[in-house]
Order: sequence, then structure tokens, then C-alpha cells
Amino acid sequence: MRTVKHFIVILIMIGISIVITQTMDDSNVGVFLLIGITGIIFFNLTIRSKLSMKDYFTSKYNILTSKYELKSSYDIPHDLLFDKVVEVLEGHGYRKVKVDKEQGLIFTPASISFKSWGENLYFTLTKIDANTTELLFESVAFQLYSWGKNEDNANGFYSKLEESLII
Amino acid sequence: MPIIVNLDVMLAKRKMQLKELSEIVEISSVNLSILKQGKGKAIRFTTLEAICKALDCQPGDLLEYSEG
Repeated sequence: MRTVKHFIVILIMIGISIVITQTMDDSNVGVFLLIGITGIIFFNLTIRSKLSMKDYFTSKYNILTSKYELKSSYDIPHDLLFDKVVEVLEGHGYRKVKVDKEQGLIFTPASISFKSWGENLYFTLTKIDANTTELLFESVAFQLYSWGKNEDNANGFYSKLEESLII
Repeated sequence: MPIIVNLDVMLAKRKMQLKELSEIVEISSVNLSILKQGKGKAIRFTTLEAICKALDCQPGDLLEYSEG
């Protein structure tokens, strides 16, 4: 299913490239379009590590990022799960982990790969009751299509978290 | 869960802090807290062995089965 999705995206990209190439012959519209998109991508990359920009990146109106979210509930107290998530991230090579314990927010950037410019991973923990915590995982890639990187980030994180609960 | 972890009881008997045990067995205090509260998915034999050695106790002192 994912391969079919990738194939459709490749066809759309080829189509857009043809349209841009044809408009570039006529005017500078294509050039301005390219400069605009490139500028926004670089702007996103510059401010990506700011925790305060979470709402901007995860907003559904930000059409230049692709988003993926997964909500799960754990039978673990809020503070303990918070520390556990940070430990899992730091123990598996995620650098620059930023936390805001008051808001129950954890952020870490995923590194650049051949598939993407890197993604922002956000973890929001909400206390349901004394022993139950809801964990919202959000992965944001700075491109229109993540090529499965957001889903890979989610699967990778959850398998590491589950594995770490075997003590 | 019918399996009760009595790590806190054993720590109190040995007058040892969780942080101290964490340093001896080389398991993070977050993991030991999860274990202490019975929130872990499973426990490794190596972990059980290390805790038993550090607290000078038997596995049965740490784990208890209760039908209730």
C-alpha cells in the first residue's frame, strides 16, 4: 500500500516539474515559486528546534509539512512516564532532547536522511488519573510528503518504549 | 496485576534508597521505579539476579502472587 502511495507521489512530482518547466519558459513565475518554497523550507529548518514553534509545525494549516500522530494510553504515572520517554530517546541516539515538564512536552529532532530533511518529534503527556497517562506522539517532516519517515519514527519509538518496559 | 512486586518492602528492610540500589545494580532509577510500582511488562533473570544479590534476598522476597 505504501509503495502505491509513493508511486502516486512520484507521478504528482513529475507533473509539477513539467508544469514548472513550462511556466519558466513563459515567465518568472516558476522561479519565484521555487525560491518561495525553498525559502519556507530553510525558514522551517532554522526555527525547527524551538519548542515554542510546536503549534506552527503541527498546525493543519501548515501545508508545507507532513504530519503524523499517534495517541496511546499507559498505566504509568505521568512523571514516571515523562522520565521514561526522555530516557528512551536519549538511550537510542536522539540528541538535543528538550523538555518542558510543566506542559508535559518533550521535543527531539530526527536527523536528516536521504528520504527527508529531518523530522521534529513531539511527545505530549497528559495526566488522566494518578496511574494513567496519555501519550500523544507527533512527527513532523519539513516536506509535503514524508516517504514513510513519520510512520517509521512512530514505529521505532513505540517498539523502543515497549522494549524498555522489560526491565 | 496478580503479581505484586515487593521491592519497596525489601528496600525498607535493608534501609536502602532506590538511587543507591540503582547505582549498585546499574539499572536506571526510572526503570527501578517502574519495577517497584509493578508497571513493567516483564523482568529479566539478570535483573532479578542483580537485585537479589544487592539486597541479599531471594526472588520470592521480591515477587508475590496474589489472586485478589
